[in-house]
Amino acid sequence: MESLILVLVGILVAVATYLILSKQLLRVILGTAVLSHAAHLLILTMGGLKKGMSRY
Amino acid sequence: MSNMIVLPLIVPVITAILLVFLKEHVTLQRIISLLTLSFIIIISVILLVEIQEQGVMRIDFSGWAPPFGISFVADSFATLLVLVANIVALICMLYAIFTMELRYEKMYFYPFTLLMIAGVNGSFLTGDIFNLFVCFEVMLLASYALISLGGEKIQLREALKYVLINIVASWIFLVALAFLYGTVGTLNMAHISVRVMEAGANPLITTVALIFLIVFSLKAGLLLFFWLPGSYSVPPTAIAALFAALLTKVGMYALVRSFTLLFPNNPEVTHTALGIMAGLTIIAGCIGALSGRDVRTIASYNVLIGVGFIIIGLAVGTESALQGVIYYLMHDMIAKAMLFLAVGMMIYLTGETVIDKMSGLIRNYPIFGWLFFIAMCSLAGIPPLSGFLGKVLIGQGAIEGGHFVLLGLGFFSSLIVLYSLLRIFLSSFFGETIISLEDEKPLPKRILLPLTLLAVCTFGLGIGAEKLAPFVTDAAETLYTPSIYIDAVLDGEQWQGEVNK
Repeated sequence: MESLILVLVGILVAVATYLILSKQLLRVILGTAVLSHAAHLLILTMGGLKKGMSRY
Repeated sequence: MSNMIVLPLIVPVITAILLVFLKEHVTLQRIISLLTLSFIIIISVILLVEIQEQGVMRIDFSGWAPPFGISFVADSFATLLVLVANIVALICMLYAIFTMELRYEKMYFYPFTLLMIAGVNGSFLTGDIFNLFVCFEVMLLASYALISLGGEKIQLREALKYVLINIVASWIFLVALAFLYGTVGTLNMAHISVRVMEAGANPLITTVALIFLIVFSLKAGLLLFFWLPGSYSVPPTAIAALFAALLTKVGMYALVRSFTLLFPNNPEVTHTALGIMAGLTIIAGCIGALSGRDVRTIASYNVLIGVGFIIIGLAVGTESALQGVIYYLMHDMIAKAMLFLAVGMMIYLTGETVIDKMSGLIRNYPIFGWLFFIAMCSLAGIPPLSGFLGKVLIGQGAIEGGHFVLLGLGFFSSLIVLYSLLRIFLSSFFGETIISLEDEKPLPKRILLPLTLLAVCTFGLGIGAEKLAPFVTDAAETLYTPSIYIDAVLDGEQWQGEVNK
């Protein structure tokens, strides 16, 4: 599960980098927004994901 | 434990919020901000004396004991920096009061400056690395507003670059924090230090340390400085001086703190990287300072040379080098503020930015000319002034540690600093007077007051170094032996037991 999320973080960072390097200001801003999502996911993952079945 | 430690952060925040409601009452805003800064100066002097008596102090917010809660830790190093930063901020604010247009003052200049000071003080005093990130952000958010204050075209262009660079840098900071938490499982700086010591030269921790190195280098302008010369030359003079004096110093404080306290475990990699980066920064700064024709560019590249020189002391890492780092950090705040104020005043008086187009200023404004001369001598490190002692101590440390290349680069850079500023002095202050007495802009004596105060500070720091010595020695000792800091934050036996396990 951790590896999967980390791959997702990687994809988000790649997209964000592409957007930040583009010429339009709006895209750059969207890029930083995507970047912040990547950071959130990374922090959640580094804290440790729960293993096993869910309670419901 | 003392509640006073939190005041340098909380007082400016509260007054800044108050000042937002006093938008139209500029005089009141001025008085309140000056009072706030003076209050913090008094508090930090009291703190310094108290630390001298009882050792490193801390405050646990809401009584949550470290490493669980967030705490503020005041050691001599942090408190000395708070003291000097606020003195410099007070003087820059005086300059702003005397020179800034009413239009700018009404655009919330004072609240933003106070918020920035709050962030700076918080970054110095915090004992929790996530809280360091938060204080960095407080400082940066205020600086985003300050850099674009006035909203000229060039300002907006540079502000955009500045904001983007800092957002990306803050993002890397967050990533580094996530990795650090995943690796050692704690965010309290003292606790991190303990856990890192247990792990020894763990490659994973070294990687995290290198990510932190990248983050703080971006903030301090160490090698990754491409954003700095542009963004420091566009805001109004008083703001540019505040930036040059305070912002890079916070990055450098973070570098010093993290590579003495948090990650001293693998110096072969991290400190070598620091040394190489410092050397390259100095070389690049020298090239920039020599090639610039614009006074603001020359001043900005001088900031970089200062950064490189201080990090040499950190890379060397002996106790005398660390003392030198502390002296030089304090000196650099004062001297850089002085240089930027002087350069700003030259531009104001002549309306030109290129050195060849100014000439003979010393005939029109003799006192100002000699104040610039003092700033130049101070930056070059000429004895009775404040730069000298820091240079000697860092040099001594470099010889002890056998880092002769860095030593050579450091002292070579002093010559370049002297040459680049002497070039300004010779071509703009000496030479034929081109401003006739009728055309010259009046320079009221009070505008020279901030520069004179900074000159007094640089003399004071140079001559009064003896008086400051006990504080600086204590600060360097705490940096050199992290266990003093850790003992003060965590209960002694608790962490000793953890290491033995």
